[in-house]
Amino acid sequence: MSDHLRRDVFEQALAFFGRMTALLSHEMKNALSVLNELGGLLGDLSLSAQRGRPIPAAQLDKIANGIQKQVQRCDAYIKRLHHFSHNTDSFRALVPLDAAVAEIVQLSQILAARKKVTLDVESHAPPQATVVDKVFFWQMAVYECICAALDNAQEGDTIAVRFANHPGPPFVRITGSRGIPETALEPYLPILSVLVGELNATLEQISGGEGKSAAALVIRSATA
Amino acid sequence: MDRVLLVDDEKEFTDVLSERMSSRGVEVDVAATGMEAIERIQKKSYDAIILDLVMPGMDGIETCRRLLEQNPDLQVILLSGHATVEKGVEATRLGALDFLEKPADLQKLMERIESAKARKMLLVQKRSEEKIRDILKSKGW
Repeated sequence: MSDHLRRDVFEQALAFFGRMTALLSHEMKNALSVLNELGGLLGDLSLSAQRGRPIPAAQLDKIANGIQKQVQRCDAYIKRLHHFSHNTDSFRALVPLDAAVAEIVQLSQILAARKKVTLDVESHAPPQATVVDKVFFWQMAVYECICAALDNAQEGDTIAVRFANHPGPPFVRITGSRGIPETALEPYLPILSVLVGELNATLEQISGGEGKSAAALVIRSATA
Repeated sequence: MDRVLLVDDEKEFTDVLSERMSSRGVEVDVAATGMEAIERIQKKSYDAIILDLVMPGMDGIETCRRLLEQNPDLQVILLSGHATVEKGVEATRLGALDFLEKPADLQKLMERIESAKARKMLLVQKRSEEKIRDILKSKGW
């Protein structure tokens, strides 16, 4: 790998990590904003109570439920952030690939929701799990493919991400309902080529779309 | 009574914030999308538009641009989970009055709404004076 390419990969990997953590922290801020308003509402009600106006029990119940809901929401985001961060600091650790794919799809869902696009994940793994190292690179490769599909997606579309490890070596297939045209894929190809090389995998463009459009992208591991 | 349009896709947030603002004498309407906000300003006049930056579909910056295109006198206060300098500059360039970070302090938000209302009244007064001046000029009185 040339120095220039190495620097590109380094920069893009950092950008990927930054983007994912920013997405999660933004969602956490949203949950905190709701908690902030619920706390403020409790303060308003307390002031009213001090002036002799009783607080309806149903309203307190509603606020308590709202607080619990937002705490659970925040907790889910923090868990995702924690898992994702460990994929970076435990770069060589062996991780089940289906779980890693499901995790990156879940994270990318925040991005897809902004375009009103649905991300579907299907896992067809047999009882024998596929474990891989460099899971951060696997997740980055899947994310880059999702981004290429998202660039060509429109409101209401669905992008399907399928993981399978039989028959043959494990693979991840990303299918956009409008296909993935070459123009959409082009900006992602340089980094994808490096990533699949690092993963000892290949990137296949499954034809079937209209014109120069690929119906799906497949990242296929060279080893079973 | 101040009239505010709250534009945010986070229903739990708009429900509680509008309840708190209503108890402070503000008339609040809610729009869950940028398109809905554009439709609402065509039907009703508001003292301030409180607009979330990140929304599905049309984002806050694009919504702000389209709202001000329709009515340059609108007073837009942008709210964001991550109030970056870059976005703040972009919003100000578009003509937004203010940029606040979430979670926002309601007291601060109420002060911004008051400033928005005062600024809007000044603009309306200025437009009326210009209109009168034009009429006087065209009639040659």
